[in-house]
Amino acid sequence: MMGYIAIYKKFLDCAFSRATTFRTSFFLIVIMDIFFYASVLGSVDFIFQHVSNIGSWNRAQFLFFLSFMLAVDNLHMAFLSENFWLFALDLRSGVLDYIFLRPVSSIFLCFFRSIRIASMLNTPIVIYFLIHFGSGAGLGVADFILLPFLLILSLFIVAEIEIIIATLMFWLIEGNGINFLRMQLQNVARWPDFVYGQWAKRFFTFLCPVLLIGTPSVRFLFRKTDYFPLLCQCFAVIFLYFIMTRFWSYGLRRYESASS
Amino acid sequence: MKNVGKWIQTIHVWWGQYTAYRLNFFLQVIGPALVFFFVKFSLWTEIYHNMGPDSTIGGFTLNAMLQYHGWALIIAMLTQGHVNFDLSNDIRLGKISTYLIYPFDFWEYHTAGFLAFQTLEWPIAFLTGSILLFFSIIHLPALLPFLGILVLAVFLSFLWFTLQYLAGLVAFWLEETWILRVLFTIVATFLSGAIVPLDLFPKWFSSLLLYTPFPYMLYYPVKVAMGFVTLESKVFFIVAAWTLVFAIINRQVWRRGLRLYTGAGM
Repeated sequence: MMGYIAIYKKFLDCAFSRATTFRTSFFLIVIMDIFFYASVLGSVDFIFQHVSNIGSWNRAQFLFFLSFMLAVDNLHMAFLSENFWLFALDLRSGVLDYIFLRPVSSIFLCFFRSIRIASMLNTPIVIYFLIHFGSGAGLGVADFILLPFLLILSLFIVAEIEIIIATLMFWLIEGNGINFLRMQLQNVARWPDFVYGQWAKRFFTFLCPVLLIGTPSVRFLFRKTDYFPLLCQCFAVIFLYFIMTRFWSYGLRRYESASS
Repeated sequence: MKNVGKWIQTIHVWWGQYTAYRLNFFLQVIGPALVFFFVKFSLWTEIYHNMGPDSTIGGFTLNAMLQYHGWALIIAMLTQGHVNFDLSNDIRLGKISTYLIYPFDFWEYHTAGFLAFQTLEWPIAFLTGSILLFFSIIHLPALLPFLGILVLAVFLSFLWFTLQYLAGLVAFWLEETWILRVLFTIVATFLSGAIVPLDLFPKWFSSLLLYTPFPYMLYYPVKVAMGFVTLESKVFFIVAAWTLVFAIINRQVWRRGLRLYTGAGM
């Protein structure tokens, strides 16, 4: 375990030096994220100028949910996102050979090595949204203390689902399409589950459980008697971890080096 | 005219590239548009669900709102599908050195790629439109406005292409051009009314947007397709003028970028 922490510290060092080398890209990422937050929250705010509720949620509740998903997205952008694009590139170019030879978990090396420091600069903005809309939605101190744990739980599910999807690249070789699929599932997850019809809801809860990323946690924060979906979310984290490691091992067996 | 053969051959080469990985093409090009539509369809159905059957939001009934987003899907597929990933890579990895000695310019090569993409995307857009028509989500306008929309879509796709081209050319200066491309897509998607119709925006904001090309990129053609407004000839000039402006900027950026280019490894 200490070895992995030491490696991750090196990854962080590399990320910092890369961030200071490409400064324009660094600032553009910050601006891009801000525009993204503005477009997501602005769109829903415009809708709420014409309606009082969407489903059973009012403006503050809905905007809190979106802020929660933006926070998950922010963590995802900072710690995971870039790795999936690198994985697609490495798979095609044969760089993966060298990764698989190292005496460290290949999942860890493939999906946790690249960290985007620029996205971390926007974390305070997302935290502000969470506190602002959370207070408006009537959350208490205990809810805010619970919030970081729920965010990490959600991040775990995102990571597991996306690694499972990324494993498909072993079969497809050209991985950009898979990365676009991943992004579209993020799009689906960005809205609460009650927005979707019955069949879509079942599909995205049980078969491709992207709706378990945000809705159970936020529902629980709004109403403590709604704890069953949260239990399902916890169970999903364990179950998906099992699927992820098995599927990854299966995918590795299918790997044909591009450089050999 | 002597270049026509080269253009056709290059378009053939691009077709081969686009269709080499068909599933990848589907997931990358058509999938996002369909998922975006699915999410919006679900969201708006839920928003109207608790309201009365004839209730309106910003002048839209549920059917009108779904029709708006149905047409938005079609217009986006006709005009905004093309994303050039190769352009910036060609610059960054030094591949443009080859184009500099070819008898076929860099811009010609990538414009041929854009045309090849459009010839693949348009039939898919028509098929998608037919499905939406079959399920009565959208309704066909009269023949003349419909043809007008198709011509406008050609104009808009060139505008989109020049903007994408500009984002790619920035690779002369930037390590990662995808950021600019994504930034532009986020802004354009929001301000063109792809997520929420501009009728729902605050009045001052939507009035301000009329001075930009964004409303013409999606909102306006969708409203024409729905029969809410008539197609005015000045719109073609506005779109053509913006395209020309960006084409001139592209030319200048290319010239300045070439002065920086060192052709490493040659």
